[in-house]
Amino acid sequence: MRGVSLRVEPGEVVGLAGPNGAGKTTLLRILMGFLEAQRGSVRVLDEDPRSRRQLSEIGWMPESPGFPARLKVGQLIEFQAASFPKWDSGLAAELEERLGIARDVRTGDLSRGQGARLALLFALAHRPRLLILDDPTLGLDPAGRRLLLGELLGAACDAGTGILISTHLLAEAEWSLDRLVILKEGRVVLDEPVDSLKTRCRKVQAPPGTPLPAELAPLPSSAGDLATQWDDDVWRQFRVTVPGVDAQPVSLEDLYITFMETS
Amino acid sequence: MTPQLAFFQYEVRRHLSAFVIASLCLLGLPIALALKGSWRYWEGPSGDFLTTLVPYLLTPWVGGWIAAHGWAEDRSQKTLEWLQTRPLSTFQLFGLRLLAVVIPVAAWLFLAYLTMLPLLQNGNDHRGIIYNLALLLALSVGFGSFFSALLERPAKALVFSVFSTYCFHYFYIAIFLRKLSGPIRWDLWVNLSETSLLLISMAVEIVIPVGILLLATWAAVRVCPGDSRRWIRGVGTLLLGGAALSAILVALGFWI
Repeated sequence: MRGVSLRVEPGEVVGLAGPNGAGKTTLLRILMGFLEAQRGSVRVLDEDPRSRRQLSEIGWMPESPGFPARLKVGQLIEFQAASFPKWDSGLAAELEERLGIARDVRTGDLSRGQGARLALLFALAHRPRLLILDDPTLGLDPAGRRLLLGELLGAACDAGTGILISTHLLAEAEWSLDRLVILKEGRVVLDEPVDSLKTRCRKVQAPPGTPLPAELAPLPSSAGDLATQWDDDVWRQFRVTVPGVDAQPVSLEDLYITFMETS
Repeated sequence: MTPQLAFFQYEVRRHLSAFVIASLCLLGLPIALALKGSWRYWEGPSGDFLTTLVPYLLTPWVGGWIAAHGWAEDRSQKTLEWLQTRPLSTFQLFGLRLLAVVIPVAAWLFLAYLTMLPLLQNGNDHRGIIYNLALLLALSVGFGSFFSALLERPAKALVFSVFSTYCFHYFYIAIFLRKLSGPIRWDLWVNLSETSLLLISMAVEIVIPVGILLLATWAAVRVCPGDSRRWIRGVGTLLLGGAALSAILVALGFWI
């Protein structure tokens, strides 16, 4: 990681994207205190992550959650409840029901998706101030993904929880994110509110070989030409000059591909 | 229930099966003795020692097995991070985990003592044997914890622990008694019990290495137990501690 700096405000959902090996998981593990940064300083909730003082205020969901195979889910939930002073039993019971978690199953018998649901319960039930989710949709079925990205994250945001979510599924997470951070080779190549990105960037379809006006700061990519500085006046004039051109709102996935190819 | 107590219970439960199996292994001793009709396994010049061979052979495995589960098991089951998310300080996690190892190990030692009780009732002085059993157990817990802090698999940690315990114990004793040039005398243990000074110095000279091993374990897992730099921290501390201990021993000039 080099010069990575990012901030998650209360109630904000920040998406962390980047190619495999970009450093997303490493960054999240440093924030959790599982790895030590070789240089620089890291502060999470005003604490050094290595101090572990902030852990009661953080919800963590790893990419591949692991649980002791010999214990039953119910025993694990009780252990988790006893470990977190702010554990909300009412919320935990509600999440158990909504996530379809059975207490009398051994964790060793859980499928990947069931394990992910259990990890989600553990991440949310102590009402953390900060939620760190490392590719949480991995292993979840479409219903589980919709429940997580829609209702559960929405409810956490409404309660003022800041959420940092690493994901490859930008198309699914798009409507949940307030801000997008793209990492590439350990560096932040984009950090911007999603609304701002959607306002300034458009996907432009023009006849082949037609150059876009320089004022639109075009970026060509395999996902199509992207105008990265939108100007209505320039666009109107361009449409008059070049008939048949069209501009569409850009998806985060197209944005991601373009930034990856050009940064 | 406090988070500390919850974690401690979790750790104790982790070692329950190992403790039960290790305790059942001890049953082999009275059963064999009952079948043989004598309190000695083998008749020989050092029969008293041979009687306690089973607990002696079991000890490094029991201490190592219980201690080697821990960080290594967490790594192999991918539960290390999940456990590390608990809002407990690293010192509490380390201390409670160590305590959860010491309790079943101490309980097993007591059971081993009970199996050897008939020997004591026969009027034999086996304080040295019991004492050495405890020291060997402490050493195996030290090595087990150390290798568990470094390795990815508990089985590997156990093998390294048992090997290191045997090597260290016997060679250390050999060095300690300036027996490097000759074979280790198996009837040594009987003589040891008669010399309280020797027992005390042995305790000091095994307790200190165990202390160094636990310090190295602490250094390895203190910050980020999943970090690959735990090797540098752990092995570095062990080498420093070993060098300091060697210097002290040389300075003392093998004072016994």
